[in-house]
Amino acid sequence: MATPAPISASSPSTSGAIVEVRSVSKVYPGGVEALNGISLDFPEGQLTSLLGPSGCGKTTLLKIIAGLIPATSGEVRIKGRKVTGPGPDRSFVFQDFALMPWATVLRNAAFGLELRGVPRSEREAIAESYIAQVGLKGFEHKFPHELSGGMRQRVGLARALAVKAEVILMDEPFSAVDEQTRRKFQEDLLELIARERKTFLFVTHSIEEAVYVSNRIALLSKRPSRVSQIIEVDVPRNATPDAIRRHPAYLDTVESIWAGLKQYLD
Amino acid sequence: MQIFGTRVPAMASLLIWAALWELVGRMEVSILFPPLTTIVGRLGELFATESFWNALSLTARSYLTGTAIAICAGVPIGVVMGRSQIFDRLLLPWVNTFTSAPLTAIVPVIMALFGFGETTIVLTVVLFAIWIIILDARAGARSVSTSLVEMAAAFGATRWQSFTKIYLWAALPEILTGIRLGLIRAVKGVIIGQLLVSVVGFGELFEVYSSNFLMEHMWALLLVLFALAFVIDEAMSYLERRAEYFAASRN
Repeated sequence: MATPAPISASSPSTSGAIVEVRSVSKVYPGGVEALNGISLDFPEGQLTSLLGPSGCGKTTLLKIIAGLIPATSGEVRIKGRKVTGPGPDRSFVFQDFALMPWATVLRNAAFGLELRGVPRSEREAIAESYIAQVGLKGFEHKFPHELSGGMRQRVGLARALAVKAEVILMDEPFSAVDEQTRRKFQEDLLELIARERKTFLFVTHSIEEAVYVSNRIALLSKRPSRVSQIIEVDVPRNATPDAIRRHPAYLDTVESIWAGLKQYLD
Repeated sequence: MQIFGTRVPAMASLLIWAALWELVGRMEVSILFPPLTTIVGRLGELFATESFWNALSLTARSYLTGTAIAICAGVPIGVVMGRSQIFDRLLLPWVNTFTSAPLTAIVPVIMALFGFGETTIVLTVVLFAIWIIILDARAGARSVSTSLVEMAAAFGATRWQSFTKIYLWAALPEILTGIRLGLIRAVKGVIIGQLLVSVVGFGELFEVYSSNFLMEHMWALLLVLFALAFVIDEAMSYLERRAEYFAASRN
């Protein structure tokens, strides 16, 4: 069953938190207030989703954690170290894939390692193994425009995994992918998570997706966003995908989140 | 194109104009328009002279040096302008001015500074070619998708890596367009430079032919130059088409 718990205003840093967000606010030039004093812990080895209405600042928070944009106030710590910019401890999966159209799947997947100066043969071997893991074996020498949207995002995922970061940030990774592909991708993602034992931060606006893939869901309110609720998802992960989607815990959690979100729709 | 159900090759209209030219020439309307056949005949004569080959090699040398300088300097300047607001603010007024300015008027200044030699011709080529190369490289660098820029940053790219591995490649279609336009303008530059200096290369030949009313020779020379410009243009369009496949798919 889902156990919605109200969050305390200043939750103490728990020993299991790998990413700590401390009263982060973001005001964009021009005065748009995207985030207002958000504090949130992300436990190690789990997949936590940031779920909220469109334009609520989920992606902004994720990019602040990634070090891609600075917070106006507050701070983010990864394993206790303050974030001042992008770092090798984090990698990012982009909503629009962000693949280099002039480079093959292999080079795209190895790009993070290429930037770090890993020798060619070594980085290509690593990238090849992750390309196989995301199910793209045989497509190493194709170019992004020869792949479908779902396959392109698999390359984006392989690239994020290849750098062996501890925290993987995913910004609505499946939103540009069609429904059927998305389901298959979600299932594959669960397998990958079980195998990789990493910390995933996942931004989505789909309730079903959040409940299906997450251990924990942080529900964000409308802009300027705050955390309105944290939901521990208690759905059996060893069941088949169909069984999960029919499980009462799954359906109840989806229902209770929907009930909570409805109030923001007016 | 189809006329009365028959396929007509694209270049067929040239034949009509060539025939018209021949006709006007034969009617001896003006000494300025000799018949095309005699001009073509002069081509062979032209190719046999040493001064033609000297002029051609000087032209080729200054053209290649000038365009190489324009590309090597113009592309990085343009890309930097496209990615840095400070540089953009600093340089854009000048680039815009020079792109549309009548550059021929500046050639005498170069001449005064660098004399009547090859240096002046090379610099004229650079002056004609570089501005459009800068502008197009700038446009390309500005159109690089934000997510590619963020991707490079997220995976720890240095400034230099972002420049060489992302911006240059993402802007390549625009850069190639700029280079093609630059190469065409450079043809103007290399000829105008020589005409104004008029003691070296084709400028000298033009000077000799026109002051002696050797219209057939002059037209033959012009035909050669037009053909050269056409070949350069076609070669660049071919390269551009090769780069287009990812221009279409990059967003």
